[in-house]
Amino acid sequence: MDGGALSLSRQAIRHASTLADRGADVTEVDSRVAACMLDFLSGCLTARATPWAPTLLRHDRMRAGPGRAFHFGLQRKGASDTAAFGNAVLGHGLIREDVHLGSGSHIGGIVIPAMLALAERDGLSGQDLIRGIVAGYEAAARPGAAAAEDRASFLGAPK
Amino acid sequence: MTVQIGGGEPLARLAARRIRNIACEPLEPAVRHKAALCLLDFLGCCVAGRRMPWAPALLRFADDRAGTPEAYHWSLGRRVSAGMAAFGNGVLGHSIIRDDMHVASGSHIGVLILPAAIALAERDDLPGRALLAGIVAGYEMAGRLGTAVRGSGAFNRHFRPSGIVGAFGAAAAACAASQLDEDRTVHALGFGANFACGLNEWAWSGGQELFAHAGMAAQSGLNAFDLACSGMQSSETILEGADGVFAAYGCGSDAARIFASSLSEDYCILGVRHKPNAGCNFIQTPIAAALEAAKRLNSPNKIDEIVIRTFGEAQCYPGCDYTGPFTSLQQSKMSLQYGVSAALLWGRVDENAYARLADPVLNALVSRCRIELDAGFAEAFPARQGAAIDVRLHDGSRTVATLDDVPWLDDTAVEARFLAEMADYAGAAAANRILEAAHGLNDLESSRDLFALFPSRTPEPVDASRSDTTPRRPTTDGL
Repeated sequence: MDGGALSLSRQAIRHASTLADRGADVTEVDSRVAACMLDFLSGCLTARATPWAPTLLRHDRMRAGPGRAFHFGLQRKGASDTAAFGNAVLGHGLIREDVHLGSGSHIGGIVIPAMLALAERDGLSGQDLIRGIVAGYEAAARPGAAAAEDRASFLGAPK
Repeated sequence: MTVQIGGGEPLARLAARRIRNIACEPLEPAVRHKAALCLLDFLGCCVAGRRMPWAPALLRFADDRAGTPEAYHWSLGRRVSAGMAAFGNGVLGHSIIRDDMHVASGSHIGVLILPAAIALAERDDLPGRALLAGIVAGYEMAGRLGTAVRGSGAFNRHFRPSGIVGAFGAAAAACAASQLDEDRTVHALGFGANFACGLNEWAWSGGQELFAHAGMAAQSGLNAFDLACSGMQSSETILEGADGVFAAYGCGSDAARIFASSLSEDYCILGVRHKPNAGCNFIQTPIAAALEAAKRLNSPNKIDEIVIRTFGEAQCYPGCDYTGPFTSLQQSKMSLQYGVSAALLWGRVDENAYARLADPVLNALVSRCRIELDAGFAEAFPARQGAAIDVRLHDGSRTVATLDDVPWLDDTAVEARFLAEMADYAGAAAANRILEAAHGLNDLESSRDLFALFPSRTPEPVDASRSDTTPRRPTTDGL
């Protein structure tokens, strides 16, 4: 990877793109993505029993509209942004979803609902979905880890 | 208007009471007039924003995601979902960087809260009076929060002030317009505070994300309101808490006190000002002074040095002390040196002047600018924003022009500018009807009577030479 005058954003895009392309062909990455996705989905479904789920569903029902993205709370397809929002809120509902320790972030709960909604909306292939998820984890983890590396200012562990 | 301060009650609850107060008590004529004026100035900015180079991209974005037709979108000329209308009109209204200014909070409140208030009013068919209350409350909360953040003596300047206060203010606008109860208003404010967005890197790089700051604030404010209406709850101590707004942005210890005490002051909206020129607030007075100096200058090409006297806030604001290279309007509209040089060279600072980024004569003048800090101007800020332009010629002669404040537009000038811009877009008759309806908003049983006057039209075809080459959908090769 060339550095030099390249902005960090551009370097990150190239890095994530390379890894994502490679990842889609690597069985271990493939199965890891599947595991993250399954973990997210089970979290979504279980969180439907939380006390605040009905309020979320009230909110999302007003805004679901027509669309192609599945909302696990409403159990139907609707607008992709509402599905991404609602599934992310649900997926974080148990505070049990995956954690990337280096960045102190719950990346799956953010990246996966966005990619699921986008993949359904735009009819992406399974391989594209995997690529997107891998790149999303990568892009979220790296700056998070860089920020967290300065331990003097890293005040808390993920909650 | 009185709000009980202290007693250990969370600031968000005190704020919610002020919002309820605005929503439920009659508004004074001067306040209603100012709200209408702010609305008209915003609509003029939306119309002007349609001519900017990124307007086609915004059009594509909105067209793809129009959703249920609920509220008017000034770029599309038709109705889209309220959230998309709030976003799009916020972006559009901010696009020429000429929207209104609340100096104490350092924020452009109109483009943050007005798109949310009018989208909600149209979606929910609110009375005109409710829309006015929403507008007043939105300015109130964004202004009070921003004043507390900036007035506390310290805050993290990497965050854009308008971004910090935007969704909070937009949520307040929605709550007041809907006369939401106190508890849910508290929660809407909490979500709004959490939905803040906007960094200041654009001012250096020339990125277009600053326009999205306004759109995101308006849309997020509506989201905050809708979430609270649905029953979702947020942190009541979101402002003063250990990990709340004031702590997160590194504010001084006085922020909470300033916020609380300001809730019993006069309406914030009355302190909103209207810019004479597009461009950053801090370059307004220097440009006006330079325009004065230009009238007395015979030969801009004989300039040896240009001294710009200003105050520290103006010099250190991101992008203001910048001599290039200029690659975008966002940079030229922030730079003290660019604005002053353009004024001296061309005797005007309009969109055309801001767009001549590579002009060699202009850039030669920019390189001859020097900024000096003036203790008097610093002492007068933020009540007044003085500046002086001292032009020194090769022959040793000098031309000095000094202004003790921005020559803000008065009401008549704001209305004249609105009428000219709206007439150009929708015709003089429509422009006049919108102006009359805005001033008569308090008496409209439905604010939709105002929105019905907005012109339905098919957007002009995208001019390929002005648009970027971004594909409608990202390609799926690579990322």
